[in-house]
Amino acid sequence: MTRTIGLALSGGGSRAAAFHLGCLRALNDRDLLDRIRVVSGISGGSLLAALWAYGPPDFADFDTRATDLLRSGLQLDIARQAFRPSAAVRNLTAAACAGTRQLFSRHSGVSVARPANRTDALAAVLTHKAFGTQTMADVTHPGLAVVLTATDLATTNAVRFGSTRSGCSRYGTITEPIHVATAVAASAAYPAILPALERTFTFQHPGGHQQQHTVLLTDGGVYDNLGLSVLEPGRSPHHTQHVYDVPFIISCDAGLGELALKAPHFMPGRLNRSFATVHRKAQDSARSRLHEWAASGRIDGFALAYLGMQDDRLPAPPADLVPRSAVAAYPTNFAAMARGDFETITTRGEQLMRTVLPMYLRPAHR
Amino acid sequence: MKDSTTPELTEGQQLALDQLHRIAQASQGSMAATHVTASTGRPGYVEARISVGCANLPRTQGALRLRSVEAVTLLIPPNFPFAAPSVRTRHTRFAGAPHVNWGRHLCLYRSTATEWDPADGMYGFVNRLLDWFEAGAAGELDRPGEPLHPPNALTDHTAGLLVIRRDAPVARPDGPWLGAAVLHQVGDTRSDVVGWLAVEDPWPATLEQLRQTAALPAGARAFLAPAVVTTKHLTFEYPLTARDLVEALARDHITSRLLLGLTGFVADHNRTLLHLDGDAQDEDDEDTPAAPVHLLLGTPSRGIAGDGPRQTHLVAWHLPDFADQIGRLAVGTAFSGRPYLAELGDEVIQFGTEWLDRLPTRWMRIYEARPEVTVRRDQATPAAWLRGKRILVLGAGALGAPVADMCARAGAAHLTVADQALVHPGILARQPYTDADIGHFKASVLADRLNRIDPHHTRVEALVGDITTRLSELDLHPFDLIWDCTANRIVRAHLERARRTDIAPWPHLATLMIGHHATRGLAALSAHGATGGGADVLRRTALAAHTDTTHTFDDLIEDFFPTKPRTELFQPEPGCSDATFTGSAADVTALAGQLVTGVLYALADPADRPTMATLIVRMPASPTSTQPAGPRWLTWPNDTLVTDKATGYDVRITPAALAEMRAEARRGARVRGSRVETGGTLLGVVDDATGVIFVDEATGPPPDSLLTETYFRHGLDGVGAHLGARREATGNISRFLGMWHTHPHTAAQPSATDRAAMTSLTLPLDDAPSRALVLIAGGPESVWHKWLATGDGPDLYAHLATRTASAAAEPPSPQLPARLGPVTWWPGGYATRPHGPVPFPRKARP
Repeated sequence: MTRTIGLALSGGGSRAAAFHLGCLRALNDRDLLDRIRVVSGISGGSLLAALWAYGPPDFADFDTRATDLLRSGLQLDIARQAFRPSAAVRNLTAAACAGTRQLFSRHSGVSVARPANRTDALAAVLTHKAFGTQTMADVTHPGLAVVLTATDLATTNAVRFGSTRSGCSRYGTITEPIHVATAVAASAAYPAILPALERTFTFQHPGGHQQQHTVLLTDGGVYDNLGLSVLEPGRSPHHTQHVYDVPFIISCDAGLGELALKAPHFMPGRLNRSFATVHRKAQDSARSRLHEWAASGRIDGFALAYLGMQDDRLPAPPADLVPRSAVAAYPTNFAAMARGDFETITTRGEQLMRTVLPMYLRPAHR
Repeated sequence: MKDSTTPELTEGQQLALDQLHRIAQASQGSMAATHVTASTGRPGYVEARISVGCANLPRTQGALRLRSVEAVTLLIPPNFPFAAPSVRTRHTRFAGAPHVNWGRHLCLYRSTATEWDPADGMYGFVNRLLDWFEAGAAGELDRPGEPLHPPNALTDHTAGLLVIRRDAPVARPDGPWLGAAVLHQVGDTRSDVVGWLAVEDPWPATLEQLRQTAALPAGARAFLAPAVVTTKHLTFEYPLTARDLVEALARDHITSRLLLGLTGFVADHNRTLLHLDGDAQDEDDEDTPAAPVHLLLGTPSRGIAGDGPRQTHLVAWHLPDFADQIGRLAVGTAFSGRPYLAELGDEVIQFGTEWLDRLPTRWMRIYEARPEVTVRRDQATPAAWLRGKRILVLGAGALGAPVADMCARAGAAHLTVADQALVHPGILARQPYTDADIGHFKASVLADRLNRIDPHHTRVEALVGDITTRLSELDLHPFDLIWDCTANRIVRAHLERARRTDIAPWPHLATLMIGHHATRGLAALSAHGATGGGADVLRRTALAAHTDTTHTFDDLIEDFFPTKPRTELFQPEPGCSDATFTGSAADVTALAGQLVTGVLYALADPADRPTMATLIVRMPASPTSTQPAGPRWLTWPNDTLVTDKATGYDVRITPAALAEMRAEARRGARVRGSRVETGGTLLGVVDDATGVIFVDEATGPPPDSLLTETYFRHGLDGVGAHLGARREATGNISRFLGMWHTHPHTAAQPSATDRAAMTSLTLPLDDAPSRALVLIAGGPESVWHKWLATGDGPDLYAHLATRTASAAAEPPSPQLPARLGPVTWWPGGYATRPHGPVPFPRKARP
């Protein structure tokens, strides 16, 4: 089976992760998961991309595990527990004993200079509940590449954690193996909700020398909330470490489109809303770029499943379509999901993906 | 610069000399111009001697041996710079080197038309000359891969023309090749070399045998011409007299005695051949030769590439009729084998040799058509695919006539053009016919004309009459490609049905169409082995155009696949012609060319060949209007074929429809367990004319469906809305067709319940048609699992059911095996949980 599809999973907390799980169910039913060459994730999309790429090989097992995790939520309070200083010391010692010294080394581990923040805690929860000490190279599915994107607030560059290599265009390639949990947490640190994750890595510069840099990692969505930029056709290997040139792109977009009208009066509210606006703008331009790539023949085609799509714009909706209004109110955090919310969001994802696939798939990619 | 004589200079020659002077001044002594005179050999030309310093050129072993200063003579034409000068040496030291003709002439340009730039004038010429010396010194004059320049023979246009069609013989190292060329006399002055006979071979005894050996048609005029091929490249200077030529040939042991003997031997044989079936020859004929005397001379000097073996270069010397006589006389005496004639023979030879000495040489024009030294201008183009193929062109009109022309020129071996129409005045505006053709059958006129393109290779036949009836008389399998240029729905439907019912696979079929204003063209290709013919490919083109989300094909839909029939029709001659399109010869020829090239590209690479494909081309528009999009291909893999046993119809299930059924079955296995049946609606159409049932799309079970391990009941929710939406989206091409359901782990055969349901045919529609396709996907466990896992399979059952029981009759209740105990009922749609163990849910029918 030739892998010719690029899959992009957008940001948007657990709502996005659940939506993407539904989309992946449809892709599984369509038998397209084996055709995916690269999965690109942002924030909540990174979480689901990682759960799939580093999870059990069998789809049903992955589905069960992802369902359990999203339903129970990423409980940060528990994480606080895990990050009492004594616990941190214990963890470090344990890791060192396990021979994975490099993974939790002075530089790639928790910053000692700053007290562990809630994003560090998220990484710890992810380690504890999902990924253990798996590193980015440990992809379950042979032939699949993974790219999880975060943003470095210090340089405003994208930092990409990949199954083949990690790094950013300014500093070069990170030499240390990266924990999947770290990458997901960094990618998911939505600025308005979670603080940035501070990490120091050794970068191998394109020129050859190595140097340590500290990066302040925050939600990859600040840069590109759909995760599409890494799939852009014709990227030059001189300017980026990730060139895939997939002829067909499937984009799962858990954004909501038009913002509900509300007047934010207080500082946190305004901040939150301005971030949301930035995200929405970035998302709109990413979607139009997808159309441009297809129109200019740079890619053979794409399929876009968009959570916030107006229901009446679907040409042939299923009779039992979960309406947009049923999922629109769900927030973009990582709290435990009620069964009803989880089912409506996953079902809408599955329905939209199943409905759009036959419309966009060309014979070569069926 | 010192002039010995003062020639009359034209303005151009003055320019040339000025330029030469400036070059000499700027060259700091490495080039000097010494002497300017009027040319004695060529009136109006000016000769300029120049010397070129070659002392500093790097030398290599085996290269041209250059002196430190090389003197050459430039020959400047009166119309310089609109004709290039030429250059020769005053010595023959370079004779025999590549790009040196007839001992003295240096060949600087392969084609002055493309390589000589008048604007560069003498500067360009001297540069070229210096390059030549540099390459000569380095031994690189004859780079591998560069075509060698053949020795130039100055030709005499009145001497006649020879077209060389057959590869020439090569002399063995131990002696020249002697024999005859078989000439096909095409016209008064032109003959074609169509074969070679060595003296040691048996020669045909009659003209008929001669024609057979050369594959000439009956009645073709043919004769023999003496021919010799030398063992060595002739390095002599261009022989102005026959004496020079004969002397040069003698160095290769080809004596005048031999030449006379061969000429006489061939002349004798010509008389035998030509007078056997002709009138009784009387004595006066003795002086008249039976055929003109052309002496062909071959030298091993012509190569396509560097160091490979030299091909024979041919020249032909036209001899006076007296050569016939003297030759025969020589044969009758010197070569008779009778000792008492030997003395007389010697005298004849002596006389003949002296006669030859006095003759001027009259070189004939030679046109090469030998495969060994010529390269087809269309080689490595898509059209090369057509060479040697058998082609059928249906329609000899605006598209068919140019398409047939293109096939004939590309060298198809056999071409059949079919049309029933007559040439009438109106079509001359764009179809390649003439006033004289009016009233004649297009197919016959076209075939006659195309037969003249390459009568040696391409045979063109006309098929006049109604294509649908004539085609059934024709065995189509020997053809390699059929072009349907009729733009006729009846022909298309006829072909589709004939192709479907044929046991043997058909040749490639390309269906060509142009739009109402000849601004767009379509080529629908159904390659050998494709499940669909032209009508099928056009139908899926229409579907693809209608459902394309980017609206790239909106113009195409309007032009070719409108949802409502066009009201404005173009009738150029009211009352007496069919409606047609508007378009010029330029439009239709350009579209035909693009479509042919596209289709041939698709056929050229068997590994990459699509099974079904459509090429869309659009003509350019004016510089100020929005430019239409360029060529676009749409391709489709084969459908899955099932035969409906009752009607014999083809059921063609698109990969998209099967993929949707499989996705639904995989979803079922994931959510409901591997044994619960599922199903849904089929969209497509039944075409009774061609006997094809097109299954375009499938959908999953409506939410109010009921799914169990032994029974599937198709629900109603959303079906009408979905069908309406798809009908709208596909321009009414894809409609309600029937229903599908699965038999996981069991045979794809209708159960008793299914059979009963097929007679009552309860459909999820208000205005239900009286017949519908029932499709069952199933198979034993291994087959079923393989389908779900890999996409191979499943077993399929298809039946076009017709309602026989009254529509009002209650559909039969499913018979549920009691032994299974409580049955789990699942809803359709995207439900993830079953209804729960209830006896039998109430039917949700309105």
